[in-house]
Amino acid sequence: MGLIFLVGFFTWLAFRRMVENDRRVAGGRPTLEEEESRDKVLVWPDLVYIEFIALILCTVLFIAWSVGIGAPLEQPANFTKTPNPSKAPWYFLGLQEMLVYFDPWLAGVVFPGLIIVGLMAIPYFDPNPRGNGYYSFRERPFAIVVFCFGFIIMWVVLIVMGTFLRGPNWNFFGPYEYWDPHKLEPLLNVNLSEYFWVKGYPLSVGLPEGYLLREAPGFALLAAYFVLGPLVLARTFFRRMLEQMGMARYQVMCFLFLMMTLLPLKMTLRWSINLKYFIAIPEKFFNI
Amino acid sequence: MTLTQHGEYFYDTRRLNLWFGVSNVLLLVSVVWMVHADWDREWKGYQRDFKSLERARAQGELGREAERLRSEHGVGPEDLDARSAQVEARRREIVASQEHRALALRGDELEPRHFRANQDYLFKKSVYDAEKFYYEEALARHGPEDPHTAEARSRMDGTAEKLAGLLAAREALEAEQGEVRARQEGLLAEVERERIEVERLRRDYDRLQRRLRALAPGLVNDVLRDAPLLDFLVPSLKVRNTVLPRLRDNYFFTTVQKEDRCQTCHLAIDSPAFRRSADGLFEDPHLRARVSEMAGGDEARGLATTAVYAAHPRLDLMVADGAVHPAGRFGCTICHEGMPQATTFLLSEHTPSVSDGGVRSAEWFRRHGWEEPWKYHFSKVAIWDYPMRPPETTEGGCLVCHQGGVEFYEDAPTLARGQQLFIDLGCHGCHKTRGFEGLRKVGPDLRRLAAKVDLDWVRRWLRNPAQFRADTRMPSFFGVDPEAHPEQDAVEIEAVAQWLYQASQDFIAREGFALQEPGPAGDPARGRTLVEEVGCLGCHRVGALGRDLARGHRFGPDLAQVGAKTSLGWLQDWLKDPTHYYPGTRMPSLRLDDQEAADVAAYLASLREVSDPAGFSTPLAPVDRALRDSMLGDLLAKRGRATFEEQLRGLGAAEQERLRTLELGERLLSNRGCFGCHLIPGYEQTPGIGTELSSHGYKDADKLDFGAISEYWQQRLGDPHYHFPHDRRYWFAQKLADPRVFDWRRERRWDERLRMPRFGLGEDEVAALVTFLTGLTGRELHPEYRYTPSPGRKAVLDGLRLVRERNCVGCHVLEGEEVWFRHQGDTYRAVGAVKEAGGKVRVTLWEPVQRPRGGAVSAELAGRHVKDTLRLDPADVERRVPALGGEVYAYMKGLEESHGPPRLDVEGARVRPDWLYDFLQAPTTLRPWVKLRMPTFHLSEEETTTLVRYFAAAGRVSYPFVRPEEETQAYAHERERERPGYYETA
Repeated sequence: MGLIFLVGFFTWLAFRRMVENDRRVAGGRPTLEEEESRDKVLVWPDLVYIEFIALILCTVLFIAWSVGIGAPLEQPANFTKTPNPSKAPWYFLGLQEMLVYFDPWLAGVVFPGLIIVGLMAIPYFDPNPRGNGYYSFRERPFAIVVFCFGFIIMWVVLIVMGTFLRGPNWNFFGPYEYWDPHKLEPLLNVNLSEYFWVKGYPLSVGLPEGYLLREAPGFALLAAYFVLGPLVLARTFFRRMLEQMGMARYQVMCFLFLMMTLLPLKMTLRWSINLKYFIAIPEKFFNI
Repeated sequence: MTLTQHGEYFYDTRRLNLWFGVSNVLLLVSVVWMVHADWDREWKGYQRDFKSLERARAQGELGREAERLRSEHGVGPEDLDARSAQVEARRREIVASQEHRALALRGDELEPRHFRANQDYLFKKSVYDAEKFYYEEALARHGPEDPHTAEARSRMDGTAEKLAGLLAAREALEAEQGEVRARQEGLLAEVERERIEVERLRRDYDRLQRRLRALAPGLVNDVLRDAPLLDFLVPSLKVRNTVLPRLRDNYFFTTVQKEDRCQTCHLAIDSPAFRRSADGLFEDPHLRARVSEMAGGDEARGLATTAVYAAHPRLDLMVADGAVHPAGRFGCTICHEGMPQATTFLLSEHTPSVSDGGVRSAEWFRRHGWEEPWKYHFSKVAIWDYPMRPPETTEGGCLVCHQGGVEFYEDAPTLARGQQLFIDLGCHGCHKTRGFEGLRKVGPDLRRLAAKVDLDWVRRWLRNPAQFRADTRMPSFFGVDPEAHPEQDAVEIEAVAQWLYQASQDFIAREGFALQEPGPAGDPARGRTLVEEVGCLGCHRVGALGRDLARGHRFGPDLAQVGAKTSLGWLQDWLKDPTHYYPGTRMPSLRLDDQEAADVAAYLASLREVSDPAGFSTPLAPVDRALRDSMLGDLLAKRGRATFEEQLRGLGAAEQERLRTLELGERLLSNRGCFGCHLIPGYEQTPGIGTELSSHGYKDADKLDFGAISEYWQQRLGDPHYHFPHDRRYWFAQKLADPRVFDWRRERRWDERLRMPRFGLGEDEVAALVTFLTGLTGRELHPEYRYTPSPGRKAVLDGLRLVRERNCVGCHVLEGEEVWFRHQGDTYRAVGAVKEAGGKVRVTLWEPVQRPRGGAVSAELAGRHVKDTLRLDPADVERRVPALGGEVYAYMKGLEESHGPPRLDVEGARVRPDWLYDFLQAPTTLRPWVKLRMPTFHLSEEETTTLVRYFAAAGRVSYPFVRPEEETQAYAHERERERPGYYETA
């Protein structure tokens, strides 16, 4: 519970300091951090004493919390009866939410892997020294926007959604809606290939036999997304970035960025046109 | 550069100190709170309250003892001390007298002298023993002649002489001492007698006083021992755990031993002193007063408090150490369910009664914050699949161990009734249930239906059987759905009736009878007399004759309207030999001759009192053919359309029409499961269509379809906040009362709707059936806990089942009425005929009086013999168990035992088993003056043996004589058939 509010508070704090710093930089004054680090305070009592008091108060808080709210223990797990809804620990609910939109190997393996690898890769493709040790928005607009989107929107919001708004059968429930386990929602999702071959204009010829041909539209679309996407971006929004980073770094960054945006794109497509998979090859357990 | 604001520091140290101080105080407070929260447990409050009740009880006993002293001995407790003091003073006086003092002086003088003399003697004795040893050694080594031997001997002899002198001296002193002591005692004798007398008087009083002192609140007992942080040493309040290693709860990944902690709060569950009376409060007036004080006069609260500390209502059966099911072996939750280890009211999953109008749940809500757990998806009550059984259905717990078969429960009347209903109503016909397989179908044989009734009657009967005969066991299949659809009902009735009628096999009446042309003309008046006299009323109510009985006790149908249903010819044939029409019938033959059968048939045919004549004669709704075809189409779409259309090809329109109706009828028959209860041609072996019920008592509520039942009740009650309990037991009750209500406002096609018919059960019948159903748990048990009756008990149980199945109980008394009464503080059981007269309960004994839990019978009661009459005060009567059987005596006024069916409680001890066997197989007239007849039951050999064994076991004959096979007629015939002349050549 506390974390939801703490995320909000620290985001606000960071932005406040960014704005202040940007103002200072524009006026030719030193940043807040620069000013603060010019002077020193004594470790004792100015640091340790305060830490100690904070420690005691936190202990008080946790004792009060644990006595005041008993742990909700349930009966022993029954393997013939899964709880409905079955929820992962709260910090994984974002991942579980992704499972709604992507195949398990993608949402459960590839994406988490890419998140870790991507986070590790950031220092290598982003050697920009500005913004180190002080808050600034104007000097790093892209990095901050991407972080805010990727972490706060994609990760935190999905966790909040998974925790509070997903009920029995992983159905979506409004904040005050009764969690009726019998609620039914139509799950009429359609693959891109079906849109293309069956429902699409102008050809409505039926699904071809071979899965490669059948899924050709999906392959084409994704290829366009991942190949043409960086090219188009390099000409438009990311022109300066390409110049600064060089081709290799740019390509890696772009790939990760596009992977990240794939999730909200897919979610939007699911909600709007019931898109199931771009590429659906259940024969080979390959679905995107 | 160092940043400073306050002296050399950045922060104001004094303010930091203040913060530090405040946070430390907060920490202290929170730690104290934590320790207190850990220490302050709900159950401790119960144990503390119980101490005060115990005090009240000890106080009460002390008062009673004082009362007893006053009434029996004329002394009050205050006199006791005075008398003790008086006695003591007199004793002192005597001790101080000249004479006693002189004696005491003399005694003091003798004491050291005796000590000395005794010591001298003992020392000399040890010397003598040593010398004797040396002498014996010398004797053995050197022989008697040797000088060494002689010397040793003379030394020994010398010592022996001295020893004798010392002994005499000691004895003289002892004699004198004895004399002094006797004279002293003589002086004190009278006082001593009095002292013993006073001691005896006050012994119990003193004991009770000591107990009261021990219970008195004290610093050590009540405060220090149970203080927080000290209570790990020797607490006076502690959790009481009953560990049952062989009763295991299934925790899915493992099984764990049961650990029942119920007695942590239910502290007096095994104590008879805490018995409750009928008003729900304690019998003991002191406890009652204390509880009312504790509840501050609030009646509901008083009842709730009493409920916590009440003794188990059946200590002879449960909990107590000498009971059949002691708590140490069985615990509590194996029967009652609930969360075994929990020590709070909520977590142990107490479940309120479903039939007290919510009074108790309102009280609970107030006291514990209890709320129906199904109301919210976040509830304070833990989620546990086995919440406690609601009080009315507790008896279902018996079936957990007493599983897997038909059995009779005299100590669990609700369960017994539920089981009887289950069998009587034929639930097992549609619902497979372990232990109830292979029972006979409860409905009549329909294989020769056309011979018995006409088609129009079948239609009207199907429409609503209760309109024709109100007490019928046949449930209603039509007009039961929450939304009426009479057109569909009309189509179904027509189709089923038509099919049954055309499937009916030919029936050829017995020789001498023809269904159309009855034999000898009968006289209804004579018939009526016969019905009254020969014993028809043992099973049937015939119009105004006989008595109406509650369902579950009824046997044969009421015959008041039988004339409106069938023909004279059929009745004659049936009365003559029922097995001719229906080989499996339970109706026995009364061995009527042709004229008698004709007379009775004539009388029965004149009975035409239909229960609801207006309803029954209402014209049947016309059949909508289009609807029929669409219904048939729905069913054909599932399977067999092509085959059926093939059948129709080339047939005329009328024939096609007929076949369509019949096809629909046969398919409906399967859809509705008619063959669950009836024998139907071609469907004799078809299994029932219902859900298996073998472990329904543990059925997960999530697997039951509650439909829109909450909304249904919200509308009926006008209460938009009502929630139907999400609990299997409430679902069962709803299902039994109104089986198709879960279809209310559900969109389902006609053939996919619920199919269970409505049995028109009363509330108590529903409760009894729910009790039975919740007992069907299919729980796996350690063999030690699985009930296996002893051979004798098994014979009785099997027999009881059979005597009910054959309705022996309709006529014969098989067990006398039981009266449990209190006498001199003990409980006794008397069996016999019971009458209430002159404000007394009079029991004419059929057996000597016994203690139900074993033990010596008081001399007074042991002197009462069979046929003596006990006169009991109704206040002493604890419970009465009605007699088993003999119902016919109630219908036939003035029937004496000499003219009525004989009592059979000791039949086994009275007759030879082989005679009984033959008699049961083919009864003969024993008492020619009696008009009642023992019918011929067509019992199988197995059934007859079961009965013989039953009578032997019930009559306590230890080894029933079973007739050797070689002695039977059948064996002889068999031998003769195999080798003619077998016996002559032998």
